[in-house]
Amino acid sequence: MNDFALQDHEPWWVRYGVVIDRMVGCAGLLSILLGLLVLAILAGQALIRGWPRLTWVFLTSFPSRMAAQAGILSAWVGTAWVIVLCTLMAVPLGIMAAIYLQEYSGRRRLARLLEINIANLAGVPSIVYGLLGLGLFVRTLALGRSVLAGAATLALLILPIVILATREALKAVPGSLREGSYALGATRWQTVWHQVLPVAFPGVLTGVILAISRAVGETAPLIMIGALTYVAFLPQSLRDPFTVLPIQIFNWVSRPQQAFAANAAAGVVVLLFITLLMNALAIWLRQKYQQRT
Amino acid sequence: MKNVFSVADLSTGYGAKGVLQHVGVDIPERSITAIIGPSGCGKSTFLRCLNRMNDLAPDFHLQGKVLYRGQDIYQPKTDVIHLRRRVGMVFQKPNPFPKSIFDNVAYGLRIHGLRDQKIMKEKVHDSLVKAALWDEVKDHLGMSALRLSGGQQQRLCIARTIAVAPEVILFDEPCSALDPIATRSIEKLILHLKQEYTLVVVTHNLQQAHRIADYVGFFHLGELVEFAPVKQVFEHPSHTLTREYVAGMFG
Repeated sequence: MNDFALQDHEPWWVRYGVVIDRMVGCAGLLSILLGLLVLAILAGQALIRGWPRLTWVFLTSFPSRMAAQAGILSAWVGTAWVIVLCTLMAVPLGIMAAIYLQEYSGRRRLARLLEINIANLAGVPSIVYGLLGLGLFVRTLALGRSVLAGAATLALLILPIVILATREALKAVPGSLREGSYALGATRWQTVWHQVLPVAFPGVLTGVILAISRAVGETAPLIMIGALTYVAFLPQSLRDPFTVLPIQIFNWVSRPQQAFAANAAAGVVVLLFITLLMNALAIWLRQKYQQRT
Repeated sequence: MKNVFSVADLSTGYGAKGVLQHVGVDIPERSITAIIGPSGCGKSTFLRCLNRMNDLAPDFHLQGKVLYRGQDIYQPKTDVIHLRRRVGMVFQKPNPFPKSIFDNVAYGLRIHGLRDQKIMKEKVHDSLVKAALWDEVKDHLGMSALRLSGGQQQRLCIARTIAVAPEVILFDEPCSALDPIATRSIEKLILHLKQEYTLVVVTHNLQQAHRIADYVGFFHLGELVEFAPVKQVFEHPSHTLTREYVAGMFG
C-alpha cells in the first residue's frame, strides 16, 4: 500500500540521498574556497612586500644595479609591444581558422583531424613553442632576438586557444539562425557575417581576451628565444631586442639581495593587475553585448 | 494546370540510412499541397529536397530528379542561392533573427543587393502587410523581433520569406510550436497566400491538412503512398495504409 514502506529495502545511496547531496555541495564550496584562499594569500603577500616600491618612479625607470632605483619601464613597454603584435597576428588568423572549421568544412574527416590536432596543440607545453620560435623565427627567418620574433612565438602559442574559443562561440549559435539565413538565399559568408558572428561576438571576444592574458604571463618561450633579462632601452622598431614583465620579475627573484625581492613583488602586482584588468574587460564586454541581443 | 515541381524516382538518405525511396510527384502551381505521415517518414527530408536545404547536412545523398520549372535543381551548375530565393522556407520553430522587426524583413533584400532605402521601406511594408503582421507592428518596427509572440514571430518569418519575392514557399510544420489561436491565423494566412504563391506544407495535424490543402501527399516509411486531391485522400483513399492513417488508427 504505502510506498514509504519500501524504504527499508532501498540501497544506502538512495536512503541517504539528501545527506549525500548536501555533502557534495559542501565539498564543492570548500574546493572553491581553497583555490581562492591560496590565490588571495599569494596576491596579498606580493602586495604587502611590493607596496613600498609601487611608485610612479618604479613604472618609469629602467632596471638598475641598485635595487632602489630599478624600475619596470622597459619591461612593461616590451610587454605592450609584444602583446599588441601578438594579438594582431593571432586573432585574425584564429578567427578565420575557426570560421572555416565550424562553418565551411562541413564536419568532414579532414576537419575532424584538424580539430583534434588543434586541441592537442593547445596543450603543448609553452617551452616547446619557445624552441619552435627559436628555430623558425630567430634563426631560419633571421628575425633575431627581436620583438617580432617574440610576438610571433606567442602568437603561435595562443593561436590554438583563439581557434578553440572562437569555435565554441560559433558552435553555441543556434543552427536555426543559419537555416533561416540560408533559406533566404544567403551565401555562407553572408550568413556568417550578418547572422552568426554578431551573435557569437561576445563569446569570441571573451576567448580572445583570455588567450591574450595568457600570453601576457608567458615567460618560458620568450626566455627560450632569447629575450634579454637586462634591458636599459625601449624597443624602437620590430627588430629590436626586448624584455617583458615576467622575465624582469624572474630576473629580480633570482638575485640574492632582499631589496630586489621587493622589486619582484611589485612587478608581480603590476602583472596581476594587467591580467585582472583584461579579464574584467572580457566580462564587461560579454555582459554589454549579451544585454543588447 | 502547370506543375512547379516534378519529382521523379527520388531516393535520399543520410550516410548509410535511407530516408526516401523512389518518390515521384508533381506539385501544381498556386495550390496548397500538404505532406502528411507519421514521424520519421521523411516528410521534412522531402520538403528540404525542394530548396536543397539538405545540402547543409554533411552526409546527405540523393538519387533521382527534382525538376523546378523543368530544370533539374541537383545539377552541378544549379545556382542554389537563386533557387532558394525562388523557393522560400518557413520552419517549425519560429526563427527570427535577433535583430529589429524591420531588419528581419530587410535582411533578405540587403543580401541580394538592394540599397535604395525608399524601395526597401516599401518592400518591408508590403511584405508585412501580406503576412498580416503590419497592423500589429507598424508602430515599433525598430523593436527586437525576439519580443514578439510566437505566432507573430512565425508571421514575421513568413514576411521575410515573402520579401525576396519567391514563387514557392515551403512550410515545415509551421504551427506545431504555436497555440490554437496563432495556428488559426497562420492557416488563414496560408490560404490567402495561395492566390500568389505555390505552397507546400508539411504537417503533423491531419485536421490542418484537411482544412487548408488542395492536394495531399501521404508518406510512410520513406515512400509516397498516395498523392491526390484532398477530398479523395480523406474520403476515398485508394490505399489501406492511407485509410488507416487518416482514420487515426496509427500515427
